[in-house]
Amino acid sequence: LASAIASQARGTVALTFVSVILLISSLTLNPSSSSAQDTIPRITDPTHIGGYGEMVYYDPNGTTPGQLDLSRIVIFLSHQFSDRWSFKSELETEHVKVEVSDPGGEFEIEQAFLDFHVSDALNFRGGLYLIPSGIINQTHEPTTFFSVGRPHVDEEVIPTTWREIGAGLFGDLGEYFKYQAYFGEGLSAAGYDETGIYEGRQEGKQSNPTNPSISAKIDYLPTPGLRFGASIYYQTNTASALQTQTDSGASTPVAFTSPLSVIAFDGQYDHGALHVRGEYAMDAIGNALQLSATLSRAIPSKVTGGYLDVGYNVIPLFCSSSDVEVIPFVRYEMLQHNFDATQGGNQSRNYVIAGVACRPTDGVIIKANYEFCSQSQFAVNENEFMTKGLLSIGLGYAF
Amino acid sequence: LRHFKLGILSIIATIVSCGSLFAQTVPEKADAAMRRVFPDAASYNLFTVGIDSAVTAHLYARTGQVVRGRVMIRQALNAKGKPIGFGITDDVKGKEQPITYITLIKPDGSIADVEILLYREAYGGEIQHEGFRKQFRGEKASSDIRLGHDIQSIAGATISSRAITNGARKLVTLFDELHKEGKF
Repeated sequence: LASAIASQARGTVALTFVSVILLISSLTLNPSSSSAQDTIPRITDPTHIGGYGEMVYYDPNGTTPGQLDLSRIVIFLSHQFSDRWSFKSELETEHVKVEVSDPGGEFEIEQAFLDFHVSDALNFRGGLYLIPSGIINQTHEPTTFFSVGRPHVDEEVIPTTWREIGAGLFGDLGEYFKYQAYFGEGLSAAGYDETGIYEGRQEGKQSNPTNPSISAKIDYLPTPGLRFGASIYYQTNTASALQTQTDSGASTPVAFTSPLSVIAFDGQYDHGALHVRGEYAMDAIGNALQLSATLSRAIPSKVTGGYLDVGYNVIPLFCSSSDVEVIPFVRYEMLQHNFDATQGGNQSRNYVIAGVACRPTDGVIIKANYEFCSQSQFAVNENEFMTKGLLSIGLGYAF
Repeated sequence: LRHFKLGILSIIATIVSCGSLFAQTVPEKADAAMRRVFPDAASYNLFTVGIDSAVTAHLYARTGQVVRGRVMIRQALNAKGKPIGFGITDDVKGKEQPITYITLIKPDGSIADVEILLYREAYGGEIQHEGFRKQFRGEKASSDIRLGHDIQSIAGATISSRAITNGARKLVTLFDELHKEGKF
């Protein structure tokens, strides 16, 4: 049945692809686009370079040594071919350098896609795109959030930066709603581990599209300062590439499927000096026990998490003409991994984070925060420490 | 199931075709904005104004932003040939790409509307929505047209909100400076 669904899905994807290409070609034959000739100091160069980056210092409580790092340096490169066609990309280096003998660093293409604009209500996108899930996955510049590190939810539940090769549609639904919907390559359960689905991402690298994912998000903006988002990601089977050894020693595809659903909700409220935002997300991993047996490691059946941030810019209290922002903030965050009882049952962690973010000018942010975790065993992660308390200091920019 | 697929595809085809039929170029959209905001005008025209170094310096002192060269201004005229509205088009930089917009200004120097003519960014097109734009109406060069002050940001779209807010402040102040110089 799984293979029947897969071949059906492949057929649909192929047919849709061909039709979209035909439609776009027919539109391009009669383009109504032209550049405005009548604007003042116009930014005429259609190619744009930008970037963002984060420099961090982590000082864990206790005897564990601290760590300095350039977590990421990213270069945007985008090009506007016409009023309808554009290309956007992000090239990222994580942890300063990539060297075969020194694992940890990464150089990667984080996004690279072509957009075709039909109208505000309808745009097509194809390429390596970001999955619409929560807030941070699609908007992750360090100047947009207050903490030095990204929220834990946006790593262990929504595997940020989560990208796939695929295609989809996005646009406005009237004045108050926005939508995005994509077909993508999907995850591969072969990479799942104790933290969940993070290492299951194929990231567009010679990926296996046997079981494509569907993802969609709706944003509701009742007034300028308020936004709510709801998103879903679904894949019929993430285990199609897994093999088991038979008694005779031969490898055969596993007999079970592992569907995946990721549901996320987010909200943001900005009014004057007050900034509130939160995310909640849940991964439901099908047949986690059978996956655990095949992969010889414990795979959670469910991973959930959420946080609420409250920040307030105090500068207007002292000087209303200043554009500098100094924002003390607090965050409460919870994470839970549900394992089978034989694997230790449920594990939950709660974090309280307090700190200050300062934006001295547009595009620059200086941050410091202290994080307290209710459990000393943080997840297995290169950026986290086996400690209950962690001081973090960061510099970030985006231009 | 095949009929279902064909149905979906024909719906997409219809949407795409309609979208392309109604799509306008940037100058056409700017003209349409003038007609929408100043519908009582008897005629509309377009003229250019040179920006001298004094205007550039005053504008920089008041807004921290720079305009040089020539500005093309749309004008809505009544039956007697008296201007009842102006429109200035411009680009501001969003996160990665320019955002093309028009600021429509009444003869008293107050903003009648701000309209986005072309948005090219991957995310954040919400600045086109009425709820954000209506905050600019009635604002003048002397108002506090800054994000978090007279203008509230769109949650989740701060960069483009700030870009268009700074742009509107620049153009309404430029209008004020040109008006003082007696350019129109």
